[in-house]
Amino acid sequence: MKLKTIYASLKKDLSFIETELEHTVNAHHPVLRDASNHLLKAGGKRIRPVFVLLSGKFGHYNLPLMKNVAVALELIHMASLVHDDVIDDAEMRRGAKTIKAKWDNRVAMYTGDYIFARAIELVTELKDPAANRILSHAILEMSIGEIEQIRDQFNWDQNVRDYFRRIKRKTALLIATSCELGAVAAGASKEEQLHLKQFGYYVGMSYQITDDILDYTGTVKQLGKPAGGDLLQGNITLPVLYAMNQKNEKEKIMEIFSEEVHSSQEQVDQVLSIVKLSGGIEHSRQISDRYLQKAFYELEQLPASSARTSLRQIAEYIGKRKH
Amino acid sequence: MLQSRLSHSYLLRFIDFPVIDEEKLYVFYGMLEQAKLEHRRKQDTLLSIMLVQIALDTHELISLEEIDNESDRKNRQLTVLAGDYFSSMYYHLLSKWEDNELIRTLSEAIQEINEAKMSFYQTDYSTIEPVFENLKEIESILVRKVAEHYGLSNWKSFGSHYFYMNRLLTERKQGIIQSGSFMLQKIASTLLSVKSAKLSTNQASKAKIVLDSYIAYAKKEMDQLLQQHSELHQLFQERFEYNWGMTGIQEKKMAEEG
Repeated sequence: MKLKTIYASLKKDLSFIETELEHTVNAHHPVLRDASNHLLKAGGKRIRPVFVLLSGKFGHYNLPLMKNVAVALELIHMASLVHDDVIDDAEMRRGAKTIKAKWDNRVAMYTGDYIFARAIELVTELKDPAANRILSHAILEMSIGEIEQIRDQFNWDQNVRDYFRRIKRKTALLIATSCELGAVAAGASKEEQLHLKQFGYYVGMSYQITDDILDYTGTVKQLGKPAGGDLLQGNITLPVLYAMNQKNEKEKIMEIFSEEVHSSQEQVDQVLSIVKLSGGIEHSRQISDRYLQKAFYELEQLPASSARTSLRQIAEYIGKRKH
Repeated sequence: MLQSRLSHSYLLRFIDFPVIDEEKLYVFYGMLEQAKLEHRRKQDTLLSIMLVQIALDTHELISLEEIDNESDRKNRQLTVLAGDYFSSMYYHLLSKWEDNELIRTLSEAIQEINEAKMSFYQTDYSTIEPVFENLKEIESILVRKVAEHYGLSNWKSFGSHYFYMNRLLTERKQGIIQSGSFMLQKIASTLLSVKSAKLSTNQASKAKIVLDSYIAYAKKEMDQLLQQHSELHQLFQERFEYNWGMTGIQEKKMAEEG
């Protein structure tokens, strides 16, 4: 099932959120406004707002209130992407030039900071002080996760536990927070808040593992770049960690990278072959699926509803997606 | 306390310890003393406000140039992340106190500061006056917002001007004109229509004369503000005179040149 089909029940609300996103980043300065809108118009899956809205359906769904959380979560994600592109020196994102490429690093830094502050201001509109506590914890952890990712680049001694902790911080926490805050904003019960948070966490873990698999298996057309981009930057993900745990494979991989600090596409291609032969891709798929099953279990603890069905469909889509 | 909160062992392996602006710390401390907050809360509030400033200052360090070596690349990456980390810390700290209102005030301040910075960066000014006005705006927003938040009207104009004055003195002291800081480069390019990043000695000294004339004017205003606010006079006169003395600027000479 396509994401668009799953989103159909939320079409009207999502279109409202899209308009609100544009209004929210309507800065006074034209460059700040254009830069903020530039990324917005490049699109995206809007998974975080969707999780906020669907989770809100388990409480007293009130769109004007839910919108603050949905918009804020997407903006936080966007702000982190703007800064990530400076970190990665990236030229393209979602088929369009990055802000740092279209303007420059300084414009990207100001835009990211502006969007981030705008998002936080929106969350202060919620009455429940827990909202800020939950979100600020997630953002703090996210930034630590990003620092750890840089730290762990080309670190061949890291283990699977390091990887899981990193992707939890980097991806899963913000998705868990989207679900939890949607439930908090709608006043769902504490129990429902917890199940939705756990659901988001497991889906987020599966999402990132799938993303990391796709980096090895995707085509240039699907990825918009050659496979193995993560490894090229020194990011060691689950498929390669699995391969390194197989007999002699760690030595082989380390040998490929031993001569230079910078990795080349040629080196990456060699490691890709080793990873594929080792069964690292298949193993990662199993782990991703295991997280999905845990996510489904959390959903089953919630009352049956169309929102629950949609959450399950999105989770399934995430596990099987090709890009 | 501030130093220990800023320490993140891995970050400090690659980036310099963030500069803590002592003048700003002193002003915000003075303001919060008047705001009559409970001791622990006052400490965390002061820390949060300073974290906002430090996060913004950290992101100001991101360079525009292409990077061709691993160490500089890592330094830039971690400088971006350090700013994000400090920014998330202020939010986390205030959310523990459930201080929704101050979180909103500070997030509004950050938005306004980035608007003002973008304006400073992107505008091609035809005269010099708005360049200094814009610089003053950038320096004033945070202290003005905090003063409004706590109803400390006496600190508003004083704090704004004190920060602006100190910014001008810092720029001069560091001789940033010569090394091509983007802030002072802007002043030089507006004044002399110089587009290159590196100024000649002659261009730098011309720009410096104009800067000094603005410093002289700002000093006069600072003296007037200290006269008007006797309660602040006691707190800041000696400190300000000391900082002024450290610059080695002689008012008479400046007036002649300006």
